[in-house]
Formats: sequence, C-alpha cells, structure tokens
Amino acid sequence: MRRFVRGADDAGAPAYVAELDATERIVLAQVVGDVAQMLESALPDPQDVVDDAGTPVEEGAGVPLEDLPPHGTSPDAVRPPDDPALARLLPDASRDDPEVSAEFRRLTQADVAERKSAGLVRLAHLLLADEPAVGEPSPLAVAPGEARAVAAALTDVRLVLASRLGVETDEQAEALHAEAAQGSDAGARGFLVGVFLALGWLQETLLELMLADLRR
Amino acid sequence: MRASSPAGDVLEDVRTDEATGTADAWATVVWNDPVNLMSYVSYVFQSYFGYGEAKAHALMLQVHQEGRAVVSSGGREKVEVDVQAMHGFGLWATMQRGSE
Repeated sequence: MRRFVRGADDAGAPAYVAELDATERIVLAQVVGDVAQMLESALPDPQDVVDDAGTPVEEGAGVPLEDLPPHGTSPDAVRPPDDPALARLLPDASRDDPEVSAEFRRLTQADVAERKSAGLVRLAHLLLADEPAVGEPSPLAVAPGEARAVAAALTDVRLVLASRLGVETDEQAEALHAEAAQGSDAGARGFLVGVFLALGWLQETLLELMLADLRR
Repeated sequence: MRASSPAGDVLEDVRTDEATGTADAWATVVWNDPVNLMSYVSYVFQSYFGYGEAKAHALMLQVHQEGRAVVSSGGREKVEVDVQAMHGFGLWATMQRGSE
C-alpha cells in the first residue's frame, strides 16, 4: 500500500510525499470531493427560507409578529443532519442536554462544515494538481504547513466511509483488513473497503512523520 | 500500537488539576471511535492543546481503553471553542458540566 515518506515538492522544498499513480489520485480525489459535497449540503441555503406559500422570502422582508417563534426557542435553530455519516462529522455537543446540543449547533455547525469542506476541496485539488497522466508515477507532495489540514481531511473521508461500511466498533474496523485480504467483494463494498484502508495507511504514515517533526 | 508511556503518573497530574480547578465549570470529553488513529489523536492533543508527548499519549490511551477522557476544562465559552476544534479535527467530542 502507498505510504508517505520524506521528500521534496517540485520546487525542491521539503515535503511529505506519497508515490501515487494517476488513477489512484483521480479515484481518491473523487471520493474526497463527494465528502466535500455532502458537507456543503449541511450549510444553510438562503433559498430554504420560504413563506407559507413556498415562495422564497426576500431578504429583509418583514416577518409578521405572529410568525415569530415562541419565547425560549431559537429563531435560527439548526437541525442535526439526517445522514448518519454527516451526523458523525457534525456530532451533538452534549450526550444528555438537548439544549446544549442545539445551542452549539446554532453557533458552530455552519462554520465547522464550511472549514471541513474547504479542507477537502484543497486536498482534492492537491490530488489533481499537475494533471496526472494515467500510467505514470505521480507523487503527491504535502507541505509540512498543510499536513495538519490534510490529516484532518483524511479523517473526515475515513469517518464517512466507515459509516457507509457500518463500522461501529474497533473489532469491526479491524476485520476490514481480513475482508480486503480475502478480496471476495469486487463490488461497491469492496471498493469502499479498499479506499478506507488505503487512506488509513496514508494517514498513519503521514502522522508518523508529523509526530517526529513535533519532537524536533 | 505505539510503545506505552508512563501513563499512570500523567493521569494522576491531570486529575489533580481538575480537582483544584474550582472555576472549571465545564469539561471537554473526547470519546473513543473505531476510525481515528491513535497517532492522530495523540497529534491533535499535542498540537491543539499544546500538551507534552507523554500527557497527550496518556489521554489518547485513556480514550482508547476507557472509552472517554476529559481533555480540557474551563468556562463554557472556552470549552465550546475546544469542542468545536475537536469536531474540526474529526474527533468525537462533547461538553459537559463539571470535570468527571
């Protein structure tokens, strides 16, 4: 499996480098882009603001007094995501206090989703940089200053894939290695398992280098 | 798994901090999940909270083995910021009143 090693970018600056081929880069960029798109769906859409007739409310339009929410509820409450994978990326901030969770979501959800999406888009661009030609080696270079954001983006993608694969325990995550080794599933699940494990190994080897550099 | 550090001593220190921190009305809790790598969790605790390697490693092991660990505490706003940052890193974090 592909791993990160110390190397240099095109300009010769120190970088963490993974020897991917063009096909791998394109496949990974696609998966990363899908997760970015999921997150964008969690962002507030101004067109969601509609009046009773379903007509979008113009900005600045007056809201009749009787339509104001009752005292004690937030006028701009943010709903938790329905998709369990998205809910894992944007989790409840309290296990036992719905008010704390609601308040936290109202304050932070758009910001967290936006930052995650930006990090994923950046990683997708990095994967598609210099238009890799199919069949040629095409190293992915991550500057040390970008590594933390790349590691976070890799985490987000792995969280979504794990959710889609139904992984809820350490044992289930561990079992994916055996599943991949058997190679019995050439379908969608086999593909997701393969991408999940490849991203995990890329992240693990990247983290080894990042942790070593923290000690310096 | 990485070589273990002297986790006992470090955790003792953490608990003492919590016991004496009378102003710490809220705590940030990080929960175990099957996806996040131990190396990544340890890195986040070091690079975001500025914890030393031993303390970050001990907290990471506590999350992994006991299912959860209190990783920071303080006023509500400070803990909100920390929980938001943990979510940004993809860690499963919650906030709660008190430090236990």
